[in-house]
Amino acid sequence: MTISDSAGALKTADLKLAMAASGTVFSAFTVAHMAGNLQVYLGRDRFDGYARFLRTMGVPVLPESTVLWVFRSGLLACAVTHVSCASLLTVRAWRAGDRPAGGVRRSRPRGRRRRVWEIAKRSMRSTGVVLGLFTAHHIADLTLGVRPAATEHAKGAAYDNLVRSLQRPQVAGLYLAAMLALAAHTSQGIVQVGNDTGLSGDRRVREALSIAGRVIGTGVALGNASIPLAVQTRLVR
Amino acid sequence: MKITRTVSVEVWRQTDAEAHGRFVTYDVQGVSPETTVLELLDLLNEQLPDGDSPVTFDDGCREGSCGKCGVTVDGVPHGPEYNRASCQQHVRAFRDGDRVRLEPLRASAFPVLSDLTVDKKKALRTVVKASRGPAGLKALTNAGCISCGACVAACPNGSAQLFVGSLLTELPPLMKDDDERRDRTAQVIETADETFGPCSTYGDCTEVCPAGLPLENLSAVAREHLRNQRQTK
Repeated sequence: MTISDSAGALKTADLKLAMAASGTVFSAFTVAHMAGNLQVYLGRDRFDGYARFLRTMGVPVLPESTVLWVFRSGLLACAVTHVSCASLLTVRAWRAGDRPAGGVRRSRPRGRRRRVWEIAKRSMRSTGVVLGLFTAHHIADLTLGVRPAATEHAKGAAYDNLVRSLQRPQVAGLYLAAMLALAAHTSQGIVQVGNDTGLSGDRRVREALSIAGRVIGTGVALGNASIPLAVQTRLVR
Repeated sequence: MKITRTVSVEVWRQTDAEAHGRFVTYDVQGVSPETTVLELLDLLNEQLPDGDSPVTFDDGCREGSCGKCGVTVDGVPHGPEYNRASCQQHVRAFRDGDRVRLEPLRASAFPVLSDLTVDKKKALRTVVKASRGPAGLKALTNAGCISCGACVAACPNGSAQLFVGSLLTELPPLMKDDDERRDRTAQVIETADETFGPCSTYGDCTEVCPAGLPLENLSAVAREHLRNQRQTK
């Protein structure tokens, strides 16, 4: 039995490395993005000023939004890499993990996977899909400002756009659900980065990465989740 | 006096590698909490109705050290007790004391030959052969791996990374020079890629491994792969 596919020339270890690299970029991005988001607590002027800064980075040497588009292109390339490698690896995993013939379902071990982290670590595909869909909504809502994702969208009024968007309970709910997925995905993602780059060969490093994953994952999720909660409770308005 | 009872055993019956299998339930009498999985199968075979062929299963030393045995007990390769081979799994640990489901080790790389017997040696041996020579076997011995294949069966991805990683952890010191190390580790990784799935660091493998091999061994695959990449450039 061989599990080779048409992309067989791409070694599993290389696909894993590409996922580790793009995943690390995303993890760093979520930390930086949260730090930017939290400026919403410093008021409208500060937050709008931060949004303006992102657009005017590099000016006057470079035209407006050039640096921003470099970042966006990099993130898009990472997203394409991450999703395509994940798809290839998923196909390989499905081929190698046997489904018994004759329509009999593989029986699952019970009583072993009750802890939240245990569930989180085997939900990378589903949490990844949630994060992908949320990101698409998030961009349509707050970057592009297109309906139906956004309601009233005013260009340059980042603070007002954010508050108006998160005042909608369903959007706040979606945001909170996406943060749960982010915590789960990041916590296991960082563990996998260690494994797929060979760093986790040392027990202490592996354990440190496991803790780092949980701290970064839940930290970023909690920091971000505080914003829709603050808008819903009218602490931010 | 030994307390015994009747256990309902749902067992996978498959006449040969080509046939479709199915679960058949038998009541097995005289089972005690200390009865092991393989002893339970012995009892079952003794009590089979006339005309039923004995349930075939992989059997070995019954001391948990040869790696020959291995069945899936209630969905867990080897059985519910952590880090023990099937021959060391006891009825007292079953989820339900009155009922148990026994099936072969499940992985694409391990075709079922009949009933609970699987051909696990072929796929595992291909990887060891890729390391060319007795060094691969020596590396596995040094790592403590008994090549039982439970790690592959436990992995939802059908990955053999614990097996391959353990081999690669111990292989380098046995190589006579760097060229040999590079060549053989690359062969091992490539061969494993063709047969087994990718590792997602779930850690199910380390829960079932009778040798108690650690999660750290998984990283040896990436480490050797990266090392080979660096040197070929």
